[in-house]
Amino acid sequence: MPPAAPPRDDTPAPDRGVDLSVEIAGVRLPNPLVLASGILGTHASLMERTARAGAGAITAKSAGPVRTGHNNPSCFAIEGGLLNAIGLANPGAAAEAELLAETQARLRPLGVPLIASIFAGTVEEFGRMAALIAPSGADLLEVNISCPNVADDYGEPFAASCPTAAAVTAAVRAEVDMPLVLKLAPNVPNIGRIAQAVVDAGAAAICAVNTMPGMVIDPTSGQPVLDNRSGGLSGDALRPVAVHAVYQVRAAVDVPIIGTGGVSTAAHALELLSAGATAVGIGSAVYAAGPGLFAQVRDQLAAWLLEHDLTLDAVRGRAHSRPTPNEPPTPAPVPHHVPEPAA
Amino acid sequence: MRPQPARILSIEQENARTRTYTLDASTPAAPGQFAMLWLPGLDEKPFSLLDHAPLRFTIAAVGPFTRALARLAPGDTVWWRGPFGRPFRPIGTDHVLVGGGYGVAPMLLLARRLRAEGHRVRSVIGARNAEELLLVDATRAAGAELHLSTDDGSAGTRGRVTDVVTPWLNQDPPDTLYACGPHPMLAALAAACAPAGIPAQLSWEAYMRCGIGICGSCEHDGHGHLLCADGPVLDHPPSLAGDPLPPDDHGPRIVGVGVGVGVGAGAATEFSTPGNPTTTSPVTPSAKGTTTPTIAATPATTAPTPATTATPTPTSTSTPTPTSTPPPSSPADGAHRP
Repeated sequence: MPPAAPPRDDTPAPDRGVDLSVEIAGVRLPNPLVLASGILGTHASLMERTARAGAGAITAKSAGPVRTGHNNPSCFAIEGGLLNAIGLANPGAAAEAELLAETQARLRPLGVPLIASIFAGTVEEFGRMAALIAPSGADLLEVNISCPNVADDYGEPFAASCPTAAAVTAAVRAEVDMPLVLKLAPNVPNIGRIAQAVVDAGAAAICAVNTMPGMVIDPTSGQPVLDNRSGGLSGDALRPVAVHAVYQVRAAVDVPIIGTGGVSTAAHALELLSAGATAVGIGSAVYAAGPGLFAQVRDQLAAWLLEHDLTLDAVRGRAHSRPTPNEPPTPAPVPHHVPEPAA
Repeated sequence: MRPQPARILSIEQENARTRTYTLDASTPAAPGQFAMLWLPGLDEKPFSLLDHAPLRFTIAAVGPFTRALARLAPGDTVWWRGPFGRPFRPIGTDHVLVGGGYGVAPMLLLARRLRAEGHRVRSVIGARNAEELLLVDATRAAGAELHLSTDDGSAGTRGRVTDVVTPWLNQDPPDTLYACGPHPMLAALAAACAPAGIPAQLSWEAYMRCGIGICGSCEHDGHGHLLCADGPVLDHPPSLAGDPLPPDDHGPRIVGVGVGVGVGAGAATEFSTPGNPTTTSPVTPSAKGTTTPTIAATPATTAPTPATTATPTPTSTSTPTPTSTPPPSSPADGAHRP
């Protein structure tokens, strides 16, 4: 993939503003930090609040056929992250479209784009849900083919194989003109192949990754803590998985990537950007920090770029190019081993 | 944090359907915070703390989960995690505390703490009738000026708590009013306090899913307040007490961390109510394709050994027994009664 040889500019950094805006499929985000699906995306008020708190784009909670979701416990914190199985609780795609329209009216004055999100149980149903959501006026459509918590009802996620992932993409593509963001699962042998399949079928962007399936068992009762038995792992523990997934996707396809998994600092965001992400999802970290985390990470990111005299374009995907002997690597956000170039 | 097992040390019967449970576990916490109680195989629900050292909860059997709790005995195990939520944040030295129905629970813990600091405390306890008044003796013993109201006049003032409180707001106004109870009661109190310029801190209840401020289920007021993380105690009006909307520039949340250390004992109420209308009410429970094993009495070596199983449907075998999936809580589960 394109090596990100950063254009060095010797102009003193403080003399230049830091442009954090990025573009995904023709949609401009004021900054690359995206509220991940499933977090605070249930109400227009919460999505507006998060936009005002500094998010660069808002992803609504995935909607599809009406679902009550799983009983509690449905989400709890563990060492290194969260485990959740909310179970795609949602009011149905038709009601969701109204919610999205109201949300879009609140977000548009803020200049923060809205990403709708859909799920479904069959390829055909994905198309119907997309058609219901399209009139809402959302800017992008996330197609969630990777929820790990509805296997009882839906079986294996569509993101588990190239043919099923591509079939969903094509079905949605046939119904709506909105740019599609396919949300992929981390637990596949090569996520790059899945990404290639959905891009070939019409995806405009990739969101990598959804949560990682996991289970926690209460040792006293011997029972899984989640009512759904298993759930999706997110947070710090997911970050190396997400960084690797974004790296693999970037190596396979040349579309914008929303890298999502375990981001709570600018250093984390820079990892995903360096792996090839155009934008960075933030979700579980809202648990500890509240929506105010978005402005904090945004400002950290701007300060870091300024300090290191870099742009987002220069940072994006630079992990894919190894430094040459006489050209030291661009400053890294966190100390880490940079391999010597091959002889 | 994941749920932790705790044995029930003792159970006190408060009235026909309400019991106070004392657990062999403690946590730092402040009045108004809540904890989640879990019965494996059934459900997990939020309850405000009656006390925190040891943990105590006053819970009425009004739904499937609370009826399952009501079948437990001392020595049985329940699982808990918490505390969660923003507690009451006392202002001034002259306080009016109002508890309606089961909402009296967190008010007792607050009354004890304020009395320990030598403040004036007027406590109002309201219910439908004398039988349903809760924690009256404990509130009196805390040193509060006690006032009762019942809808039928069988104890105290006949009428609503607002009939007791409203005359005070102009004639002998407190610095702050605090309340927990049915939403219509809280709305009436907020409406009464506003023209008098008295700040109110009201503890609301909602259907809570994640309990830690990310899922959005407990959005409360159309302004983006989450009751599990921004509440359950909210300021009314929000511009008072330095709590503007939204509170996203106030630093890290108070989630899953004990805030301050309350003292004394209090009573507790079941927070969760019929669900969030935008996500739950119009929804028919989906038929799940699996069964949920009930938990069996299989004490682990790493934890206190429960005398009996903690579940509502105990079995005698150590192998989880498939049963039908427990139904979602009925709309009546945990609802406050005016």
